[in-house]
Amino acid sequence: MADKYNLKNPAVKRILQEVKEMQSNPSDDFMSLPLEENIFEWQFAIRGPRDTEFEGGIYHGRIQLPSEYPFKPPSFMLLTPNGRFETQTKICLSISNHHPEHWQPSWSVRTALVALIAFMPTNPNGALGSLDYKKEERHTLAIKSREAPPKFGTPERQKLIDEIHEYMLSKAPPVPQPSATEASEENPRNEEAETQVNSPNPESLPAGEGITDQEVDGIVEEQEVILANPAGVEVSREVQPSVSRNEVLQKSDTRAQNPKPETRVQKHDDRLFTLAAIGLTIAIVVLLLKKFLKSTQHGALFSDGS
Amino acid sequence: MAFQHYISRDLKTIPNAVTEAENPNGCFDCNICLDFAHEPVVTLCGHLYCWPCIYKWLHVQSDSLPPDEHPQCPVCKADISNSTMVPLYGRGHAATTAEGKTASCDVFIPPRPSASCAQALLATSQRGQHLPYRNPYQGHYFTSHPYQEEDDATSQMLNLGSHHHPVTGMFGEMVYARVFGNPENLYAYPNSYQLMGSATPRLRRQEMQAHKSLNRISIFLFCCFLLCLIVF
Repeated sequence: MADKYNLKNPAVKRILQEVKEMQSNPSDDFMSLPLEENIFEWQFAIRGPRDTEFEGGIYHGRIQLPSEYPFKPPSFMLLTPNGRFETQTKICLSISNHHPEHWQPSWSVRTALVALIAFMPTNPNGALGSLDYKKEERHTLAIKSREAPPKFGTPERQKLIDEIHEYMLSKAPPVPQPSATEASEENPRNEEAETQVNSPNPESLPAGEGITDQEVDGIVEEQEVILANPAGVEVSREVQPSVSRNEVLQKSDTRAQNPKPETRVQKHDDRLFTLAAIGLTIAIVVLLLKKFLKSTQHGALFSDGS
Repeated sequence: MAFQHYISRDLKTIPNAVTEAENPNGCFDCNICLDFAHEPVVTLCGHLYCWPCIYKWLHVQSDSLPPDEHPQCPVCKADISNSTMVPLYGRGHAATTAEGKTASCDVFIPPRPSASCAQALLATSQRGQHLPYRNPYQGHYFTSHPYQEEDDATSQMLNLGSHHHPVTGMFGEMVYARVFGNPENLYAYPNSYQLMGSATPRLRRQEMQAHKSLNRISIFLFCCFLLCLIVF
């Protein structure tokens, strides 16, 4: 299969790396594979998040990766009726191509699917491609989603969808049956789940920060994010001490400059007075020598005359 | 069964494509292309990228971002820029790899930013102005000293030529006075030069004091001159 693709294309290399990583670290919450004929077309299936009306449901979808991937975001389309997102319509999320300004090239199909699972129980708030069914209807749709995968696309794509569906059936537990007691208990659980999911920042959800029911892979991703955020904080903290140190240097420089000239001026005055005194002494001595010399010469001349 | 076969087939084919640059723990993989980093650069927040990948992302992001916002690290969203990236040089032929990498890209990618010493990096990040200002000043301070010495030597020669008195002792004493005064002159000129550049009130007072001291020196020399005339 690798011979078909142009390995010099950065997007193809990146996608192949993601496929390899997806297969070496499979997850029980989702499954995703590209088509053989076009590696930019993926089919995926996600499991409904736990403790929600979507629990036990298997929802299929399609991902279209752009040619500039990973510098441009992909687009997502759900194929199974689910009560939260419309089918056969591209979803409007911060991880999809509706908002390319929020996309980060370090995100991948895996992080996008994790985010999609986390977005299922959130309030749609009238977003494009969203639905707001009642919980009972969503529950009914979840049960129905396990019976058969959706019909979509070419026979090869349908075959891939069927294989993914079998894999998800073997991994996902069945839909829990709602009894009277469980129904009453489910209400606070759902509210708690919605509260937890709604409180974090939507932009950080693609990184898996707000997810609480993830397995080892999810936990690892959360830890990475948690470790990464303090790094940013540390960077900002490091800058401030540097600035304060610089100010301290400025102050010390200013203080160091001030006293030196004053000291120099004082020494200067003292030396001046000393010089003046020495000069005067020398002048007096010179005058005395002059007079002495003249008197000696006069004496000599006088003796010669007599 | 067919599904497992499909997965195994994928596993067989894909590892062949990436066997060359496979890295067991992924510690040195680029965060954008998920492959072993070519021309690696590290941001101040510590995340590793290929230089072509991050350069392309910086351009893509700068087009979509408002002008006042800074590009962000794709992993942790810290502010990054071309000047704050540090290149990593390891053992091996980086140039050949770079040429191969550049040829495959359709966009021209400049060479990596050069590594700068820690002091320059701190100055760049802090926008400090003092370090580059002090160095040339100190250099000039040193050069001004020999000029003063040369000037004094010239004045000594003139003095020697102008006075031809028969008594050597008196002449020697006058020369001694001149020599004794020289260090003071040397000491004063750099001081005034240093003060001229500043505009602080304190420094202005010191400047005036320096001018007074210079006036005293000139008066003293004038008195010496008069004494010499009287003596003759």
